[in-house]
Amino acid sequence: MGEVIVVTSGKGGVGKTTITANLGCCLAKLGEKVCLIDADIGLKNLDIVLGLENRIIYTLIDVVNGKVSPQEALVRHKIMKNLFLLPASQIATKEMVSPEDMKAIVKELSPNFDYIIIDSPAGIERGFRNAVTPASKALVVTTPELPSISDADRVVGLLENFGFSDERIKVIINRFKPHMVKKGEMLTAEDIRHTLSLEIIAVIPDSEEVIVASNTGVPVSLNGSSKIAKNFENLARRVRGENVPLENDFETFSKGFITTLKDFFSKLKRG
Amino acid sequence: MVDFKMTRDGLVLVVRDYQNLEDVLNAISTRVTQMGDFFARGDRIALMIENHVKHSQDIPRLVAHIRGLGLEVSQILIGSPQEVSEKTMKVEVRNVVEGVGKIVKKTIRSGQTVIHSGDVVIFGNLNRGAEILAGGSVVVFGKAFGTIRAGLNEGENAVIAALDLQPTLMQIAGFVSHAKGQEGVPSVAHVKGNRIVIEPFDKLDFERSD
Repeated sequence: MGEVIVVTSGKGGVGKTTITANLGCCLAKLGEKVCLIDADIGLKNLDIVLGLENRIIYTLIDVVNGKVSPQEALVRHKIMKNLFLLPASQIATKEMVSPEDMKAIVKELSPNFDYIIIDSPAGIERGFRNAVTPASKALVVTTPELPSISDADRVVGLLENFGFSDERIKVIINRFKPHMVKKGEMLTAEDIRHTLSLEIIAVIPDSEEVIVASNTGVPVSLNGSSKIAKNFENLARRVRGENVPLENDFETFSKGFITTLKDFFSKLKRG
Repeated sequence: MVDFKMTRDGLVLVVRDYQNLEDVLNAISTRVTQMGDFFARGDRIALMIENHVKHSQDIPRLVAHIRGLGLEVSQILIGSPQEVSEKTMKVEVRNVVEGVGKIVKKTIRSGQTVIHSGDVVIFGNLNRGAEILAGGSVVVFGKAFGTIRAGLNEGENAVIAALDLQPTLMQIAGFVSHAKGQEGVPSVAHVKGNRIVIEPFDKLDFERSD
């Protein structure tokens, strides 16, 4: 029986889809058999981030309508052979799927996989309920800004209403900008942990690599030269239950040679 | 000539003594338009007419005019506006569990509410967007950032206390305040001299009524 994890946030645009894609890739790299489900029906993106949009034949709606079985609708990833995607339909709406449908689909898929990761849409309406109902663990994504944290808090409250205990809800801080934290202009990971009173499972720095990766359809974790791939790998290892200290996530931030030089010269100028 | 007042029974439209009915009707239209989105169609308001004996024959026209603006008149009050005290604003507490106090041992998150007819004690934080509605006093053994409404049954003797009192909004009985306590200092808010005051826990000065 596979573990079913939902990636959610409340607020849109914080990086749920990117994190789902990269977490899936990293777990697959570690040898797990992974299925990603795009629950953002009508506004699907996960297939694009994974570079699979041209391989879709059937979607979640076809499964719900009984046209095909969940297994038949799966799309296998081009590079990672043990990573699969159950795509969403772009022309359907979230109201065409019920939480019970999602539960039934996940139940049928779960014996064949180690991990099933559901990419939740933004919002707290039907789409959110669809994504959350079949899951047993939740990853709540937030950026270090108050509106995002406030929405994350609201979502955690809703997850509690769905029967999630606090141990089964973990927070991912995305788009973290260490230089702003240093200047005291941004909330620290510790601030966020206090506000949400939940464990933080990963801190992912803001990176331009992610934008490039989303456009090319190759997630950063499959790009050997990427710096933040390590952060996603740390996340995947923690999801598997390995003990990887949170401090490791900050290694990516350590200054490069050029920045050190720049700092040195700016100090000379001032001095 | 016309004015809205918030009372225990809801919103009251007060029409003062007048000479010309047309002027009053125009004034009502202007006032309702000014308030814009405040009203939804079919909202109920009470109507109070000063010197009602003199103007009793105008009442049907007034009511018809208000209905024409999309509002319903729920009742017609008589008397003078002095009796309509602004202090008596009250929030109705529904579905309350009877009891002396309620203890909640968790953080109250955005969107969650704690409603209780008696006193409420929270062991945890009250996050932004969360709300407490209490008939009596409220104690937050943690940081309070959300909305706290206390004394909804008990009245102005209720107090609000928190280890860090930074609420979005505080209400004790009919008094409302946006004030915040000193950051990081356990503080108590209570009603003193017709307003809510916040004092650090070690400098408390309740006005003793007994």
